[in-house]
Amino acid sequence: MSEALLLDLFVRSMSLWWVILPGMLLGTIVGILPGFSAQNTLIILLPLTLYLDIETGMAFMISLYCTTQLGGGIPAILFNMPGEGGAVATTLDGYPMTQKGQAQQALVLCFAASAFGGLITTIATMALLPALGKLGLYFRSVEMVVVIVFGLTLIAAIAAKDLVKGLIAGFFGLMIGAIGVDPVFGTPRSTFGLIELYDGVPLIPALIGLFAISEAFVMLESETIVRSGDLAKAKSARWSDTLDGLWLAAKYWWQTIWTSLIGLIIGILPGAGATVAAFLAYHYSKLVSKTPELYGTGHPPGVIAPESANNGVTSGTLVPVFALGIPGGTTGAIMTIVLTYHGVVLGPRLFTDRADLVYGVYMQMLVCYLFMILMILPLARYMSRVVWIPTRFLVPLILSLVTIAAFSEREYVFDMGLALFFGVVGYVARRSGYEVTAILIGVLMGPLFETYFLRALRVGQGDLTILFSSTLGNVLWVMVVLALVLPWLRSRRREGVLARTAEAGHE
Amino acid sequence: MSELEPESAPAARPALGGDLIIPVLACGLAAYYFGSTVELVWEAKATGIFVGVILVALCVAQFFRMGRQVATGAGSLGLGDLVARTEFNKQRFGLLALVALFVVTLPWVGTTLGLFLLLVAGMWLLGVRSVRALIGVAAVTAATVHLLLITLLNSRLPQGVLQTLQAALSGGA
Repeated sequence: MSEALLLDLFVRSMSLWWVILPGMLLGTIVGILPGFSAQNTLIILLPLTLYLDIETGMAFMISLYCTTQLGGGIPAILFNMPGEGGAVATTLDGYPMTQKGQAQQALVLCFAASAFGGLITTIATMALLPALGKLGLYFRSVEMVVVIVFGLTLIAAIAAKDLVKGLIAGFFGLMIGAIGVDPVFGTPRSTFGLIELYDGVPLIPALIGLFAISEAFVMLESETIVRSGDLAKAKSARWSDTLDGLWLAAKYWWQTIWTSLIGLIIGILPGAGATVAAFLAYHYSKLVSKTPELYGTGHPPGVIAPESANNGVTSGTLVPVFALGIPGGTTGAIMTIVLTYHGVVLGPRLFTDRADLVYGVYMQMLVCYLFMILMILPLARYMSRVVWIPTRFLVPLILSLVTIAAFSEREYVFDMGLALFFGVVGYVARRSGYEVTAILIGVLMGPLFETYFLRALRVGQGDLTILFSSTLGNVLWVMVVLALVLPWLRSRRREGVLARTAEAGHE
Repeated sequence: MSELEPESAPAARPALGGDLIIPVLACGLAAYYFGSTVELVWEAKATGIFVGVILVALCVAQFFRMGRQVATGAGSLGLGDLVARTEFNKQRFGLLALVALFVVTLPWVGTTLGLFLLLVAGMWLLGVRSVRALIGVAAVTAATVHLLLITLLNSRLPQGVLQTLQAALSGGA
């Protein structure tokens, strides 16, 4: 890659600002609204993108897709309602920050982590593109089973407060995830005779119910989202508080880098996506932290990790599309349609035959993230004021809008009722100490686990030892065991230190 | 017989009944899964049965734990705050009923009109009494949803009476 070509691509990408900015605006709106995903919007707008020339069409799709991940974090932080699956992990620390009157700082952290995380992974992808293209080949069904199991160990981490209740919540979610036709034979299981459940429990109504509706039921007990004691502090927030968020983001720069790289790797793997990446990054960030007990209480790295990871995924998604011509998910598939419609032959030769196109797309992504950096401060400052609105207005608005949003994914009125059902389940779970996040992790990852697990078993002709047959898989298994054992060892050590301190004080 | 002093009166036992709802639902789902997949080949039900067995074991552990708490007097089986006749619970049940009514009547009433009515009723239930605020917020939200989702994004959200009226007016014109 010559410098002249890179400069030329940068100038060309900047000149597409007129399509990148509307794409970003639409992406932010789509991200904020639960139920609306980049995939659905890109499908709706497919006739438009096919009509545009390839460079302009890709610039529009890329900017919309990248900003959706950022937008999903906004309601997660402000209302404890993730706009996208990739933002579920953001609620764990983002919402507690809002309740403490630090919505502005949390939003800046989210935006900075998203923009810089995306920027870092875009540059990394441009530098290593041909090599990264081969990475997906090393992750087969066996390795994917271990990756998903690693994500599922987060249930145990969330369950730390009450292990039995936390595990019940996680396994309840996995059981819900087992509803629908099986991935091998297509036979329906536990569908209650409802044809709407044949494809499994749809994720959007489950997400909306467990998070948004149940949270709205809890929210109505307070005058505003911000705790009354912290409301004055939140209202007196100045630009210095916005800059404080930026300072926090800078303080944890290393966190942004490595968690975004987790996102990049997960993005390359087929089927995993932003949700798995965000949970893995959050989990791993907590594991290696010196203060894991602060996670879940409004700890800045708890916002940075999932947000930089879910934006890291965006760069990774396109790698298998370009390198192998195989889309890893729906977004990749839509982009494949647009590229092939314009006569682009995808595969390894693309890097030499149409280097300008491949690197041009990543340059558009880079420009999009640069524009995003400019949006950080004003967006965070003014969006954070939403949480001042009294809940007597906010709760009916949230309830009605998210119920409508539940319709958008599959366009079934049934899904609205399902969201309401999950809302009641989520409310009861919250009130009785069962973690809704653990339930959702199960619902999200259960079907993924089953698909890869059965595929691995088919390859191994029913022999379970196939799960331990690859070197990479075994290394990942060791990491899974460490993820489970390390927190336990650490808490034992801390208890020992505390006991020794108390003993010394007693003497 | 002297009355008990407030300090020496036994404290109300915490209601643990609410903690049972999720495990009961979970066990019910697991039992239904086991029952409905008896005829299937093992690959089709292996993961669900594996998950279900662990889930039931965990729920049994929870039932045992709660049973011990109830037996020792550390808790009761009441549902506590979850169904108490508090102002907040009345508002919660009211909102739940309103949203359920909205979903059920959506095909006939339509999204725009239904949303408007749901918002007015919901805000009124939570204590908003200003007619201007009730009508203004509900109308602006319903109009925005109609414009954005139905007109621009061409969503198949039911339009109900509004569409019928629109069709009648355009047909009559």
